[in-house]
Amino acid sequence: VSALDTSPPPAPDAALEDRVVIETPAMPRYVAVIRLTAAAMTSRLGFTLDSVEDLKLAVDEAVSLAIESASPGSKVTVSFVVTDGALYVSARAPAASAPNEDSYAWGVLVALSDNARCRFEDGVAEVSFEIPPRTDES
Amino acid sequence: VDLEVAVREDAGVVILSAKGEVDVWTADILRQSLRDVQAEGEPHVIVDLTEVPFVDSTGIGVLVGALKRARETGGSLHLVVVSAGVRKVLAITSLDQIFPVHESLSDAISAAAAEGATPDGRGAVVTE
Repeated sequence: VSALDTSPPPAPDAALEDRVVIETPAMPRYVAVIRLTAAAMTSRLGFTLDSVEDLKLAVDEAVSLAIESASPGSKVTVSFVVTDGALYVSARAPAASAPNEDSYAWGVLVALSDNARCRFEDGVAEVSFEIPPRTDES
Repeated sequence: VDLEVAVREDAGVVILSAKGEVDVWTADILRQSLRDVQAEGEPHVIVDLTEVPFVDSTGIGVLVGALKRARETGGSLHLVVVSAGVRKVLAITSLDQIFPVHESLSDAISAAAAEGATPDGRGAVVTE
């Protein structure tokens, strides 16, 4: 650092700062680990208690769906990205089939989130959703 | 253990008391307990979820399966739910319209015992 450099330190990179990725074996026993991590993370980011509870359930359903269709022995990768107060969650796993959209899990996820999507491309199943920014009016 | 299920009988009604979270991993514990109780021919069953703060769709599926088995044998399945989150998932799946859901175990026992007392299905007067 130059002695002449008196400028303030650069602003933290928001994309880097508010992105958390968890990878676990794609097995049911790990779903609790993932949803509790999601709850802890969003509490720290200022989400309200109600929205944290909703998020915990939405994450649980998305990850359960991804794991259900995952190939045996594979891993599930769950990413959480916060942008302008909105949270984007994605659960991906190598799979032989698409996540089951004819399920209670999918119905619950759609009810709790925005833009819930199931994809199956190139041998990877992905379930994603968004939680919109909280508005003071709501 | 993430989920514990205790079984006992009160006023002629079988009560499964669960403690912990019901998800895709632990739901099997609840499923097996319900199957065991129903296989023994117990028609009226209460699932006490007072100490269950979290139920996901897998747990809902287990409860629906048990309700179907109960109805096939002329029995019933009552739920005791305290957690707002569990109430919410029942509402999202519209199952609060199908299950008798009670706020306390004593309410559930009264309702289930009344059904047990009337195998002819004509109903009974319950003194609260």
